[in-house]
Amino acid sequence: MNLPKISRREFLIAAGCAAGGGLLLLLDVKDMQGALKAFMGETIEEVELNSWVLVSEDNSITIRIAQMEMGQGTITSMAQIMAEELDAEWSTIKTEFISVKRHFLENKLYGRTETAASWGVSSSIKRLRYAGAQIKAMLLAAAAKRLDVDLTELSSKNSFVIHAATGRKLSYGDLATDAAKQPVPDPSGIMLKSSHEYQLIGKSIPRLELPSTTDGKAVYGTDFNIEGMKYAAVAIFAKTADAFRVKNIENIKSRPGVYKLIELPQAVVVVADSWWIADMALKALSPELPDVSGDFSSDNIKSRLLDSLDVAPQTILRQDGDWLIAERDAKNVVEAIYFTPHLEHAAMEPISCTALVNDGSFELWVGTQVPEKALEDVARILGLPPSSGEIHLLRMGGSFGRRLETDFIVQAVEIARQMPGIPVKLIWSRETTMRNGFYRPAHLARIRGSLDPLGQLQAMSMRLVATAEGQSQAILGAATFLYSIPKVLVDFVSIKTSLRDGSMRGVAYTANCFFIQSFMDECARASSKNSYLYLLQHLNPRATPLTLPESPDKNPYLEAVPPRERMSRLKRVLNEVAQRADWWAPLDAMRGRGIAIHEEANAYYAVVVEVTLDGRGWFSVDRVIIAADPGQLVNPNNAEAQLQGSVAFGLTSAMYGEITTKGGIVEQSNFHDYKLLRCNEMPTIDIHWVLSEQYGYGGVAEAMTAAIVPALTNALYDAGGPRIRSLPIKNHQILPRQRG
Amino acid sequence: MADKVFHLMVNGKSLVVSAPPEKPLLWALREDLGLTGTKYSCGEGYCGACTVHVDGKAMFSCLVQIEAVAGHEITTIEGLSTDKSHPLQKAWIDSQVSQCGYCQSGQIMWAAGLLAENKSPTRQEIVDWMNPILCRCGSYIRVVHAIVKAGNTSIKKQD
Repeated sequence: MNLPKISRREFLIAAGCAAGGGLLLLLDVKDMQGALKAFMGETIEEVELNSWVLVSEDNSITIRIAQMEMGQGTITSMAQIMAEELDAEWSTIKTEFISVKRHFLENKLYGRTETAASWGVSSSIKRLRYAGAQIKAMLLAAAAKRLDVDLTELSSKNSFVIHAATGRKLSYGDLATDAAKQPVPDPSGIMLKSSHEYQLIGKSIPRLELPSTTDGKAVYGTDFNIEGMKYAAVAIFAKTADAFRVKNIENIKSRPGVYKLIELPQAVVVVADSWWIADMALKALSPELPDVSGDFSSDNIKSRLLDSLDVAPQTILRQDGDWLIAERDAKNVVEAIYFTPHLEHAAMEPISCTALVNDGSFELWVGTQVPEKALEDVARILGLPPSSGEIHLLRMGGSFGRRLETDFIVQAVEIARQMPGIPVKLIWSRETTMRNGFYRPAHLARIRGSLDPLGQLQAMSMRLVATAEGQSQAILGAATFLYSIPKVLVDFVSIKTSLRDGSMRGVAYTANCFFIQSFMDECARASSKNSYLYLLQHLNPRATPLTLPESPDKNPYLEAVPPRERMSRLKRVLNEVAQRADWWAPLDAMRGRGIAIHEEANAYYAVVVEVTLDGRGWFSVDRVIIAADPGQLVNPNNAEAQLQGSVAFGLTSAMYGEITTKGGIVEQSNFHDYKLLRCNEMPTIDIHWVLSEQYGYGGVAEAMTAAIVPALTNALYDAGGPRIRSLPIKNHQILPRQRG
Repeated sequence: MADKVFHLMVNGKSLVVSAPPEKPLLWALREDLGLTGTKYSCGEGYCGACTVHVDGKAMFSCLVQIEAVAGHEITTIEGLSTDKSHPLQKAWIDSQVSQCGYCQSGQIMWAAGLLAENKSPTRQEIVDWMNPILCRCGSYIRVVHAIVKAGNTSIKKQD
């Protein structure tokens, strides 16, 4: 049986120890050696340095992690950065998530905790490097005092301070207590390492958090257990309903194992001694769903999107030159309408949260991408200050943006507050998770291009319509393409539907990149040009007059790169991918290749996809070749895994992803009707990094989810298949086009 | 739906669970026995995250009732080895397979089912075998690579 899980923090509080700066005597009940030492009356001393790091007397180091882990390798990347400047011995590194409570109490000292937008490394690297360097400086200062030597005579390596002249070595563990008493040095006076000194940053270090996923030891939000805990299952009803009635509700209370029945606005909750019992009890309910009009059916959403193509725009996203005149005078106009549907995040771990509410305080155990927002939202509904609660952060079994929302956390607390003093673990079934999402919105775009006699685009206009209005959810990537097109208009209309909109991995780029990269391919074909050369001829930094948009990704942690330089980086990866993909080599019949380029998160991507039509309506994705320029990388092997995973994620969206509604209810409920890519559909993936030290750490975790989609649909056309303008591909028959 | 007492052999230990007979093995493992390495993801046999071995055969524990497995040998991810020494676990770490890791108990247990029957499967045999197990993070390339690696090592049948 498992020992009851007590958090380190709880133990500290129980033992009456103060937080911050001073010596902490700590007993780790999960560690057998520690338990024995405690039994013997001995203690393991750990010293906290600069709030980021605990140094143990056995010279192991615990690094606190402020960015959340959902499979992107954040824990290891953050630890690599800190350990680098700290000159820590990597084999003794442990990690723990920060205390959110402390973060609030001490003026958000851990910096950015929200984890999204592929900004993890760029938003953290400077702070972590300086923190690590500060701590090292304190250790060196302590050593200088202890050895009575000048600082210049000391060096540091592998968690030791070394005095070369005498060969004396002092471990960080030995020095920690003294180091904690040193003044924290001013960062402006600190010299960081130069990149040629790196032992860890830029290296493919095996992930610290990976081995525990091979033996069942990793604890996700859904796995958390604490003594006395109850389980909650929930049935949530249509948001569009003003009221609903549920039959058989009285029967539920008397079922064995059912502890409590709670009715929340628009939800019924069963609390039981087992989640399975709670879930079974819910299934016995017969909800009487009110008749919701057809306004919220997918067909209706589509026709409303189409109707919005010709209304007045809500926002002009980009306007360069007299596009209207250019279009009017054009001899050759290409026009196309594209559509992308709603999508659900479909992380393998369903939605869950454990909550404990007491009088005047609360505790949560949850995987979330937004620790601060979660604490604030919960505190607000309880009418308490944020400092009265703590979130014990847990890793997530995928998230992709779904756990940026706090709806389920607030719900868990609404349940827990009705059972004060009793921890309750809320788990949403797969069906509940899928039907109560914050969906990647549906988009529609009509693009018109005016081509000159050489096929060059002289004007382009795009009307974008989306079922959301947020920058991230709807707009990113629509107006910031870097092609040398003199006259451009992009305008935008949003419509409302019954589906909540949210940010899903790749966000609005996943729609807008599909639209624009498909359109470029269609224009290439219309001009009888090769797709690769067509993109190249539109990436011309010397073309004038020319207004290029700023980067769509307003990352405050990265230096802005001038537009023409961004265009050059795009050109570079485009040429690289064409070369690596052996672009000019002929392909057999029924085979094709498609190309797409993409700028996202201050990184530049070009991708070629090779497909084979099977002649019976479907196809295989054989090979994907990527040229990627994210500037620099902290962990190349992990970044490679992120690109591989993004390809799978994007292929799923392109080929299968579709959330449809009827009568206000999402029709999909599980993986039989919301299909995900499977192992035998995975192509080979060749990744070629085009790195450069002059740029910072751009994002890698999302971009390919967007770029892979048009590369695939362009490849299908190249193979002789239809032009796909409306996703998912599964709704089409992929048969060779009629010729002649 | 009344509770009955069931004797289960789990990872070599004889354990007692009191539960309704139709309770899925998945939930008996996770709730009654505290073995949370076996995961709930779809609950209906579409994804394989809940894979365990019953008498050495890989199956989805969300589809198996506790009544049906009483008295049989059950192996969960926690019992594959005591120290991550199973060739698949070693290959998983070596090839850095997992991303979020949530599906990987199922991936490994299902793969172990293949290697128990076929010590050196071809790449295509691996792909075909692994198809029932979903991964949303898209770790498939490395899953297959790791099984290819592990398949070249001799397997001692683990309890």
